[in-house]
Order: sequence, then structure tokens, then C-alpha cells
Amino acid sequence: MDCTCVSAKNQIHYFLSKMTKPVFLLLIILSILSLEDAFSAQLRLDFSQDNRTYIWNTSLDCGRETNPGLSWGFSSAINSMLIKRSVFSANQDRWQEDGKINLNLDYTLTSRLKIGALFSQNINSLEKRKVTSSEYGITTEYSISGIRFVQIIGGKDIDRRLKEGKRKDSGFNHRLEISHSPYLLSESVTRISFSQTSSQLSNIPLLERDFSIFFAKNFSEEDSLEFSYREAWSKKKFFWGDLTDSQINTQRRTQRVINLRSSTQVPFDIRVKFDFDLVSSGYKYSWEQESHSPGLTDNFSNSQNFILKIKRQFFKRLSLGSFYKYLETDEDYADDQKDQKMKNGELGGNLQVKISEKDSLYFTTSIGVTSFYTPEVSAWFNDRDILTLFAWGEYLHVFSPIFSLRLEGGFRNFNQIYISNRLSANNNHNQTYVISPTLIWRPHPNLNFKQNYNIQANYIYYDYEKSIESTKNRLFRRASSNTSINCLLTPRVSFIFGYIYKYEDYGQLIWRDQWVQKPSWERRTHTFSLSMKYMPAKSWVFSPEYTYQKRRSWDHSMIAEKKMRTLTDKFYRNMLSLSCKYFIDDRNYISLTGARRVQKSTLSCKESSDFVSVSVNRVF
Amino acid sequence: MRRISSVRLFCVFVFSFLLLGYFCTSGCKNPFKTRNSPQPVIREGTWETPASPEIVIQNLLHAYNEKIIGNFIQCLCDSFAFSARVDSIDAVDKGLPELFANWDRSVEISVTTSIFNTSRQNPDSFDYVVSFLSNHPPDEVGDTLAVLSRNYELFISDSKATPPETTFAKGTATFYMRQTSFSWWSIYFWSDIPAEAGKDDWADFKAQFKQ
Repeated sequence: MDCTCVSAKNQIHYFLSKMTKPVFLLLIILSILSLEDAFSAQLRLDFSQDNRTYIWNTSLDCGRETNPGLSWGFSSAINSMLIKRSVFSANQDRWQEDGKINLNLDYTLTSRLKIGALFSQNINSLEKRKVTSSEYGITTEYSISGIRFVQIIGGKDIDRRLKEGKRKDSGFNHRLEISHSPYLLSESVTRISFSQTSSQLSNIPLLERDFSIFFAKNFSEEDSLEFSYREAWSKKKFFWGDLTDSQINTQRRTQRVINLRSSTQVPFDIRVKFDFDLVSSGYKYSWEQESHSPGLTDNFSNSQNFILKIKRQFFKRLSLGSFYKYLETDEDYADDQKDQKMKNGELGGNLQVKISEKDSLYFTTSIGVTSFYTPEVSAWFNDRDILTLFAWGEYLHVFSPIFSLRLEGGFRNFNQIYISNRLSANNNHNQTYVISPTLIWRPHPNLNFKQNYNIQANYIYYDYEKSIESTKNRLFRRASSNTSINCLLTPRVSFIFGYIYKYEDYGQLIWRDQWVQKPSWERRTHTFSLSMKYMPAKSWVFSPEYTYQKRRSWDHSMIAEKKMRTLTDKFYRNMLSLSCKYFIDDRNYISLTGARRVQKSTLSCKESSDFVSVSVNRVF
Repeated sequence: MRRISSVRLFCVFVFSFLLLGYFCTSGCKNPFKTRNSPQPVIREGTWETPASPEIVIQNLLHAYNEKIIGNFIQCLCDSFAFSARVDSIDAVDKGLPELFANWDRSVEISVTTSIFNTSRQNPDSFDYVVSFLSNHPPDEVGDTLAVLSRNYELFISDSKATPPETTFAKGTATFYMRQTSFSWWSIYFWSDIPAEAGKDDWADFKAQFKQ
């Protein structure tokens, strides 16, 4: 008994000690906020509990610009997570906290020169393991003839305290940014920038360089061009392995990116858009010891993709569009056999037509092939083609202002073809058909009925097993009816009633000049829900909701050539939730949501779960 | 029809010429034509219609152990993200704070392709087996969203390492799934935590293959 008390006290003490830091920090911040002249700020507090997981998220951003030319900014975010001890394992409660604080101060000395200071700290902790990294420095910003220089000189410390021991790193930190926006042409924007970051940490130094050019011009309302080029290079060292037996390795990364976006109108009022991207990157590793991870190897990749779109409008009623997409990637793993090339081509189009005042139609379709090409050894299992065919249509008919019909339907075929005979047994067609009509009836401004039906079927058949009675060929079907009634009783009280009936069956697919199904199981689900929205005052909303679900499952079998249908499972679920919100506007509110769910099945014991979440958002 | 200036016509002509030149030199891909494949010599590969969240993680498990990347990719949503919040402190400690950052679908595919390739090409020296344990927290399955947590064990053997290594990683993988019209159920968020802080888990294994 004493032991239990001590344990409980320790736990409470542990909870309090973990919570003290963010609360203390928050108090300091709020005391700063309460000073006269303090300004614009946003505070956000979130808490949620889902069974054994508790999450707290806190963030605060504020800043102020004062005369003459003095400004400061502060931002912080703390995320805490507690995973309570599982009944399935003998583990202890697990606390994890990630936090970051940024503080910056700027002072404008002249119109060209600005100086300042910055400080940032990141904390990552998990039980008794803690990694703290701090950066601090002095900033200088100087502008001359449209060229902007920013320099940060300071230091960086990383302090690691793990169960296995301690590890510290500190050193000089330097960042230089040069940017220029020259005026080249009218109605255009040009930007050139270069940056270099250097962290001279004692064990794992880092050096990064980045260069970019951006140009955009609008030639006319119809014609525009955008171009960007970026080149990046970095060299960094990192630890690998356990703290007690770690080695320091080096990663060198290069990256080159080109983007082009263009748009124009050609004769016959056809609008043409062309987008192009080229990305090239490489990673090189050097290791202290020969033994290293089997995954990290030198690798280079190149990719290019473009999309060409054309669109034409006819009589403001018909819009016709088409596109062609191309994507190519090439991965090279130096001496490794993991190289892979991929090519993808896709052609598609869409049609949007307003047939009359009451009828409109939308249709989209596409067909594409993706091919993977690999070296000889990998080709046994990775060379493959994927053909995707997709079509989707929507038709809307408005019978009257209070009654309308929406008809949606689609088809998708996914055909996977492995080129090697080691995997070609997996070559299959995966086809899905969907049809879904919806009726909307509004007999009164405060009453809304919506009835939706949905029928879906998924056929999977294997290319080399179509002619035999293979259990791999399957059909899954689903049909549902969804009814919802929305009633606004008074401007402050509304009700929504919903009922969903769902039928699903599944079974083997057998080819007898056409596909026939041999059912294996079926499932029927009924779901009722009732929710209310009540506003007792202008700024208060209460939303209780109750949901009841009943599901029955049957297995189908053949016994002595007689079809048997056996009830295998009965499932019941009750769920009650309550949401309460106090709000001033979209940015200032407090909300509280709680839910309890109880469910029971003949295949499992009774289960109950609780969910809670609290959110506070305040803009000062 | 509106009159088009000669300057614009010239620009359009130059633009079209450059475009045509690019197509001719770079090449395009026929969006209708696929390659032929021979009759299979062996039958491997397990994949079912992801009609329920449970089937998705079974598909993922089979794809991982059978090392079939096409089946693995079909388990992921377009907006997929992977998180290893507990492991991120180790990444920060090693000087690689970006290791688990921005881990989206393309990163996941690249990492997993690399894992499958390495294992397929070196079956005698590098292999792994992952399995889900039968004890796990209750599944949360709604109409369109589901959260399934699975305790797993991952056994990795690397005989090329000096000395040869066998690693036993344990942890809990939580899969957040959503249901869409054509893709049925698929994973949009995968979070991983080790069974014990500081010990190896699935995320550590995957991170070794992130470039």
C-alpha cells in the first residue's frame, strides 16, 4: 500500500515537474505581453486525449515595431506528449517534449543599415534523454544600389544528455546572404540570391551554399513566363551508431533545379500552358570505417517532367481541355545494382458543358503508362509497367429551385504488368466501377432532405489465371443508401438526422464466358445518428451528437451442394459526443470536445474509449 | 476574330519550335502501350481488395515480407506521411534533424524500394522478417476513417556487417486510414514508436535506407 502511495506521489511529482517548465515560460511571456506598448500577439493552446495518449501543444508569436526603428519578435512552440503505460507491455509512461524559442531584436541605424541580435533554442527530450541546441548571433543588414547584404555572426551549442552518456559540441556560426532584385523589363520581377551557412562545430561541422535566380514577366493578360534556377551544395558530418561507439561520417550533397512556367493564347482562342521541371541531385558518403549501413550508398538522381495543357471555350457554355504529362527519373546508385529508370506518359482531357439553364455536365478522363526499367539483376523483380485508365462524370439536373438531382459515375482500371517471369504471376487487372445518384429536396427554407445511393464494384483478376478457377480472382461489391434530414427549428436550434444502410459482399470471381461471383461473405451495416446545434447566446455553441451502429456478418459456404449462409458476427456501437465552443470571431475562441464510445461484438469483448480535446486561440 | 499581333505570332512560333525540339530530343512516352511479359515460373505475391482496414495492413505485411514494391505502393494514399516522433530525438542527436522530416509518399516508396532491392539482391547476406503480434489495442473503425495499432517484431540479419549483425526491433505501428471511391481503404499516416525508448524499431530500420 505504501509502495503504491510512493509510486503515485512520484508520478504526480513527475507530472508537475514536466508541466512546470511550459507554465513558467508562459507566465514570463504573458508578463512581457502585459507591458505597456506591447502589441500584436497570437496564443494557441491545444490539449487532446485519445485513450492512452495525451498531447499538449502550446504556441505563442508576438512582435512589435516601435519608434525610432526598433523592433523585436518572439515566437515559441512547445509540444508535449505522454503515452501512458500500455496494458500490453511492461513499459513505463513515456514523456516526450519538443520545444523551440526564437527571439530577435532589430534596430535601424540608417535607411541602409540595420543591426540586431537573435537567439534561438531547440529542446528535444524523451524520458531521461535530452538534446538542447542553441544558436545566438549578431545580425547586420546593409542595402546599397538594390543589393541587400545580410550577415549573422555568432555561435552554436549542442548539448546531448542521453542515458548512455553526454556529448557536447560548440563552435562558430556564420551566415551570409546576398540578394539583388534588378529592374530589367517592365511588368517583370527578377531576383538573384546567394547564401552560405557555416557551422564550425567541433565534431560535426556543416557548410551549405545556395544560389538562385528567379525571373517572371507578364507580357499581356494572356501571356506570361516564369523561370527559376537553383543550385545548392552542402557538406556535413553526422554521427552514426550508438553514443558509446559512434563514428563520424560525411555527407556531400549537390542539387540543381530548373523550373519553367509559361502560358499563352494561340490563334483560334486556344489557351496553351507549358510547365517544365528539371531536378538533379547527388549524395556522396565517406565513412570512418568500412562497415556502415547497407542502405546509405553514393547515389545520383535526375528527373524531368513537363505538362502541356490546352483549353478552349465555346460560346461561354462549353469548355474543352486536354493535357499530356511526361515524367522521367533516373536513379544511379554507383556500384550498386539498385539503379532504376522510370518513364511515365499520361494523356487526358475534360469537358464542362452547360446544356441548358437546368442541366450541366462535367466529364474527365485520362490514360497513362508508367514503366520501370532496372539493371539485369533487379529486372527479375522490379521491371514493370502500370497502365491506369480513369474516367469520371457528373451530371446535374435542377427540376426546380427546391429539387435537384446529381448523378456521378466513374471507372478506373489499374493494370500491373511485371516483365520478369519470377513475378508475372502477379500481373492483374484491378477494375472499379462507381455510380452514385443524389437527390436534394428543400420543401421549406428551414428543412433540407438529401438522399444518396452509391453502388461500387471492384473486380480483380490475374492475367495468367483468368481461365482457371483461381481464388486470387475476386469481386468485392458495396451498395449504400445515405439519408440526411437537416432541420432549422429556430435561428438558434437546428437538428440533423442521418441514416446509412450499407451492404457489402465479397467472393471468388469465376470466368464462364462472363464473370460470375461465388460469394464468400456478406456484411450489412445500419448507422443512425442524431445531432443538435444549439446557440444559447450569440457567442456560445453546444453540439451534442449520438450515433448508433449495428453490423451483421455472414459467411457463405457449400455443404453437400447446398448453399449455406451462417451468421458469424454481430457488432454494436454507441457513441455520444458533446462539443462546446465559445467564440468572439474566427481567431478568438475556446472549444471543448468530449466523446465516449462503447462497442461490443460477438468476436471480441466489450470495449469503451474516451476522447477529449481542448483548444484555445487568442489574438491580442 | 481578334487580330493577333505579328510579335505574338512570332513568339508563339518560336515557343512551338522549341517545344517540338524538346519533344524530339527528350522523347515522350506512349500512354497506351505496355510491354509483354512471359508466363510465370513461380507463384508468389499476396494481395486482396482493401475492403477493410485490417486487409490493408495484411497487404502491407505481405508486401513487406514478399518484397513486392507494387503491392506495397497500393497500400498508401497519395497524401501519405510517416512519423517517428520518438526516434526523432536520436536523429537530432546524430546531427541529422531532417532524417524523419517531410517523410511523404515518395520518400516512403524510395526507402522501401531500396530495402526490397537490397534484400532481393543479397538474399544470403541481408534479410528481414516482420510480423504483427496478436495482442494490440482495440481498432477504431469508422465509416471513412480508421486507426489500427499493431505491436510488431522485426528480425533483421546482416551477415555482411563486421561482425555479422542480427537486430531484433520491436515497437508499435499505428496506421491511420481513409476510404476513397476508387482506392478503397489506404494508409494516409503511419506513426511508429519503439517498444522501449532508445531501442531499435521499424523507423530506425527504414531510416538506414533514406538517402
